[in-house]
Amino acid sequence: MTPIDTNYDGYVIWAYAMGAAGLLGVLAWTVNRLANAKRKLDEAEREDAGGGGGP
Amino acid sequence: MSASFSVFARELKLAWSGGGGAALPVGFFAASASMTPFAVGAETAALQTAGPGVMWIALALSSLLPMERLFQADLEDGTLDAYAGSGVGMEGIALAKTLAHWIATGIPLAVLSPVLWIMLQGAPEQSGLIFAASLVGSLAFFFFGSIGAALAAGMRRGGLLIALVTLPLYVPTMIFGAATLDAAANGADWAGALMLTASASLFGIATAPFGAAMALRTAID
Amino acid sequence: MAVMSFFHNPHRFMAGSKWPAWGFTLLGVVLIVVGFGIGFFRTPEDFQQDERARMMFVHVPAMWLCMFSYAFMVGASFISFVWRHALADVAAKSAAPIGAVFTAIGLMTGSIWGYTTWGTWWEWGDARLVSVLILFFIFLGYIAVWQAMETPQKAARAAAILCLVGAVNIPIIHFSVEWFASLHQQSTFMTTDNKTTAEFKIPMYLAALGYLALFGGLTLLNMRAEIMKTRADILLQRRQAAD
Repeated sequence: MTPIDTNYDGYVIWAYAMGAAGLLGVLAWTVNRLANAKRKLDEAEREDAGGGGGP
Repeated sequence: MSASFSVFARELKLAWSGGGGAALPVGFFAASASMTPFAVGAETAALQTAGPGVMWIALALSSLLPMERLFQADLEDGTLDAYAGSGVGMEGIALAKTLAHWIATGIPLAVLSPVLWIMLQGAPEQSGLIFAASLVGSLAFFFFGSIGAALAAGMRRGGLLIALVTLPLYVPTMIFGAATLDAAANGADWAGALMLTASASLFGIATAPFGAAMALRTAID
Repeated sequence: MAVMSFFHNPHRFMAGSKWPAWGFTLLGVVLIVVGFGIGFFRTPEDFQQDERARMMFVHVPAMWLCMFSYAFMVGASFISFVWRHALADVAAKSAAPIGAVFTAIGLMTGSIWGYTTWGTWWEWGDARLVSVLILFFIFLGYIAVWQAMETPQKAARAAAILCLVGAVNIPIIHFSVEWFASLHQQSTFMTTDNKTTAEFKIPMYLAALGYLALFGGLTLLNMRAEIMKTRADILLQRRQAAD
């Protein structure tokens, strides 16, 4: 089959855009997950240390 | 030997009688195949082109339907734990259950398939071949499905997970089985494709009980 | 008890993984930016007037890493299954979403490349394409198993089984699609062009190393997040039990 278009710039840009979006997306998701987990752990540890055995 | 046979006999009785066994999957098979003309057009040529493939998909999905209940009930009421201690071995249990369900449901599906084939303008002379292919294919679908059933056992609403896990396992059987039906429709040589479908089934029977057993042992822990 | 052993084991991991985790991530980002930059802004004459080849710098490393991440998960699942090592479970679970993203990038960019070359967005006769698509579904199924199971221990076992079963399945699918293609005389999609010039190799390897570093860094970061969450849950459970 012959190629449909000789100007590939649009397609190339799309490809790079998808790659960048995907990689940045998973990076952002990971950092977000990490921040949430850290916050949750800090809360749990703070209450554990401060609250002791109280209600 | 008698222990595993009694397990198998019990499973067969349960699979046959519990909830009308084959009624739902067979009904689903018939209904979904019947929708083909509405989807692809009622011309004979269109049906003969699309019919074999659609029928095979319908067979696969119909085989998926009983999977949710394959291990669920026995897991919940503790029978699976009893089986585990009985000395038969989880692999044997998985094999017995899957085989019993296939006999109760898979064979009826295969019996119906030539009827649907003719309904989709397939050549009536091919009926025997269609029955054989569906027999072999449904065996594969049931055994590969048992792995998904075992993984999702003990989950409420496990049906979706079973489908997601099992459909990749179905792909080879889909390809070989549909090719068999397609060859039959075009008058080409179907023997090679049927052999491959059969080998997929044998592979399923040989390996699926081990995968299912691993998953079941996890489920009863 | 499983809970206690998990609690003690990851301390060393948490202590040792902080710098590698962030370091690899940063390294990965830098390498990818440089690799993409070189790859994108090259003039077409450099690779025999084949502008489209610039897409390869995004696509090929993605495919490599999608295979690598699944292989990583298979290894971790195997270790988890045989030795019941909790850290292996966490490693496999953490790698899965990253692998899925790489697979998605590979499939999408591959589809675009295929359209510019062959005029079709997809080709069912290409065994590699279809196998990677099924692999993507297996990634999704794997992630779903972790979400769906009641306890983390059960999820870990079930997920490990699924990962190993999938590993057996992929070559079988590859073969069956090839068989199917030979039957229908479908053309293969991905031709291996002559991409041996240095100008092509440099951005390709930079991007590939960047993807690899990013995978390593993100997996470690996700593992850290997972372990922190588990520890927080354990602390909460202990407090509720003590009340």
